[in-house]
Amino acid sequence: MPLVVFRNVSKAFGSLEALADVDLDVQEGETVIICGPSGAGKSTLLRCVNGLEKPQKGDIWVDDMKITGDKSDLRTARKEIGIVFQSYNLFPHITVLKNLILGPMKAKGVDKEEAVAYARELLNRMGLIDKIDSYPDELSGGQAQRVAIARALAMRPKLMLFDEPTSALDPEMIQDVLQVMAQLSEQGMTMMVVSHEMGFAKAAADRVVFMADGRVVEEASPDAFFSSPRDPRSQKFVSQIIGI
Amino acid sequence: MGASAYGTDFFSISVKILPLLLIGFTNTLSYFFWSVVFGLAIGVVLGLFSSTKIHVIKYIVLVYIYLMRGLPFLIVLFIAYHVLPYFGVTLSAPTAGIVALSIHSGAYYTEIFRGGIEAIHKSQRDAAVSLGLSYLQRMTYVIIPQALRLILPPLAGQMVLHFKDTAVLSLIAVPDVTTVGRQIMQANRQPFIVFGWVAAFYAVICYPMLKLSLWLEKLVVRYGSTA
Repeated sequence: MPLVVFRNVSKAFGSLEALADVDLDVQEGETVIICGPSGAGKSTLLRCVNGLEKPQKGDIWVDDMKITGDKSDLRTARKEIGIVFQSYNLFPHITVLKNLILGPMKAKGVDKEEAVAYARELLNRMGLIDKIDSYPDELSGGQAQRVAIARALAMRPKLMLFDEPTSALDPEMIQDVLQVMAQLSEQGMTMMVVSHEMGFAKAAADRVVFMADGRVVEEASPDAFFSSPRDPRSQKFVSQIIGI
Repeated sequence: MGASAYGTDFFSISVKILPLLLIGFTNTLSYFFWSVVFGLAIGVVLGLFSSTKIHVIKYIVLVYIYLMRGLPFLIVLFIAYHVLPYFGVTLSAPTAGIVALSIHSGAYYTEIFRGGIEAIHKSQRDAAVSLGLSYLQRMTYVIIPQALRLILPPLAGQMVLHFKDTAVLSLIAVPDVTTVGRQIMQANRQPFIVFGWVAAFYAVICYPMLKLSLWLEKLVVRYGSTA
């Protein structure tokens, strides 16, 4: 069974249809890029995976746990699903280290020594070990986002969600973050990434999912999608991002 | 009566009345203390309730807040002392005073707590939920520590108003420092000296609290950013 399964998932905000009958499978170890024009439902789709948004129709499973409906499964599943937000959402009142160990210690019951050791290892990998005692407002955007990735990884997730992780960053910091993500992908992490970073998609993604008006319009390999999109809406989208 | 004679009067009168005023002042402090305890309890509980999604509770809390903010404190006090007996609840003057102060200040504290919790951006909740933290853990480790920074300065300011409201209790003749002062003044006809001391007692508490409120405000500006 795939790690992530969407079946007939629909979600509306008032009269706005954010997701319409979405079917989607993500295999273990796969990196999937989700792209599309704004308002296509990409973020909503991603936020449904860990239950931050609740679909009105359809079902979602992650690692054989049902996300929709029963609540007890959801909290267990959340411990296996890391998410990285556009605006980092680090906890501003505690240090980088405490940001990293809060989840493992409180939600998973990992003892402090082990949580700290793993946090240090992750920060080392991100090249941010010297920021371990800093507060989030002392970090640059690129550093903050890498800390946010480390915070998600500290839970030892099976699945990582990225919601436009580089959209809020200055251009020179985008590469630092994408590099970390590419490494993760290489190491076999299952990843769902909402992003328009074509370079990253080509280098790291196994598949591109193109969405428009709440629907999955096209799925293809990155090369095929960016060189010869099939749907008219995909064609328009690709020409626009190449044009920029 | 010369200046020096008046000076002697001032000291001799002060020595005579200060022990009495001090007793009244300890009563004032005790009314303040207990109504802060109960008022804050109301504020914390209702503040948390009104930030939930349960609409009935939200509505009831809202009505309570509007009622208390729309009534002069003196009327709340008179209701507690003069009206409640008609419903079979007869309270002593100090108890009625503490009850009225608690309920009245509780509404303001509720607003401060609710505002503080709601000011913490939804994105912080999203991040905490995503780590698999429970409601209690989210509140304890993520939301409340951040909200406290926003809550403390207005809370200290509100407490100053609350403390000054204790003087109103003198209108139901509780033995607070204002009542004691008025009684002494009626006996010795020395309003300047008596109320000078009474005012000093209030200032001793209010001034540091005002300072604290300002200091906390500066602290929040320094650490207030929510990244």
